Amino acid sequence: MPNDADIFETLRQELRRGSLIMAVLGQLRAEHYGYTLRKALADAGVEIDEGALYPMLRRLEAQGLLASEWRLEERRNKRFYRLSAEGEAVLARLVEEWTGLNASVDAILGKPS
Amino acid sequence: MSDLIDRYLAAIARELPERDRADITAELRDELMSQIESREEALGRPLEPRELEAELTGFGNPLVVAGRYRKVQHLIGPQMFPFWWAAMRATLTVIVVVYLVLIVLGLIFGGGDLAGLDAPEPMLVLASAFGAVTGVCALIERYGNPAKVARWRPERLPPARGKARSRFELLTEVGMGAVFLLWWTGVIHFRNFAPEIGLRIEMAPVWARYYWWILGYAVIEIASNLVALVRPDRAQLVRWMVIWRSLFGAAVLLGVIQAGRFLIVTGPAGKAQAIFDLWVRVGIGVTIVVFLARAATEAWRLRQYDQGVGAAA
Repeated sequence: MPNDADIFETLRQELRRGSLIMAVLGQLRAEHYGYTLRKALADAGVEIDEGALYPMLRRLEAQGLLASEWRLEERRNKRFYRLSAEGEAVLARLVEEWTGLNASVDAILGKPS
Repeated sequence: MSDLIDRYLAAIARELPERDRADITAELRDELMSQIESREEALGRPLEPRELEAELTGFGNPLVVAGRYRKVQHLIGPQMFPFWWAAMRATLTVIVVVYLVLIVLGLIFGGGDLAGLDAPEPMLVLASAFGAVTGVCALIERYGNPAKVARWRPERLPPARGKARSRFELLTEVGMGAVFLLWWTGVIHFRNFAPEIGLRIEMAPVWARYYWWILGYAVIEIASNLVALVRPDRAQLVRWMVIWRSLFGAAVLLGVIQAGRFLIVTGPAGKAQAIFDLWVRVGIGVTIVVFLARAATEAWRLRQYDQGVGAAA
């Protein structure tokens, strides 16, 4: 039987799942390769493990929201990602949705928005 | 060090589609090397073998790492799962009922031995049914449209009032009907002799005369139960089907009961012929009464429903 910690962890992961995509898209307004993207997200307080990040990057690229290119840097070939024009538009809509949802949840919880 | 990393990345690569293999492993190699270099920089020395092993363990099982790149992440998703579960429960209930009936009949006629009934192994049937239901649901999940399966119409909901038969009851009747049909058409056989007392029982010619009528009744019974299962909203149609099938069944048995002999008992116990015929005659008589009572009950319920609808209007 799951204990309180397990239940909280499951709920926390569900809560994070959608917002991680937005954080990744937002961070990629500036160009990054995988490792520096993870570091930048972690520095901003959004931890994401590589097992989740790289498949997500490929999926977002296949959806046309990201563009990527291989370049040599620091003696190694790295794949650099950047938000595409389509990604910018989708991100703007997601931010709008997020802001509205946040305000609604804040209102339900009785917090000033 | 690099040998272990190469082996790790090769293990991931084996699980990836060939088209993306080189691309994904190159990116994962860069991530892994960046992590190791960062760690070595922090420690001020190269990683020891056990530290490298810990890094790779933390990176994830190769099957899991590669699996995350797969487009299909589940066999049956949350949209399809309730339908898989409902189909599985219905299928397994019918199979369990069929085998329970076969076991009981086996105990009576076959000395408790299912092998004497020519029926396939229960575990084989259960495993095949599980595979078939799961396979169909997985195909819908992968190539079909699970949202389309979930479409429904409120007008097809069963009526809230009135006594409706439960799904279990209906599935049980379907299962028992299936056993009868299999036996009647000769797909399964029951032992009809008891060598220890020299008894052999055959069906009298009267049953052959009514073969197609009885087969028709069995098919209609299964069909009406299936209609009740699939379209619980058509309660009135099902009631009409039960009324007509009961009257049909009673009529067929009224024809059968005219015969003087129902079974042919041979062997030293042949003297008991009259007793066997008497019991079968009583059994047929009781069944006719049950059929007529069922038809009358359903007709009464139909009338109650019509009056209820009239009063509501």
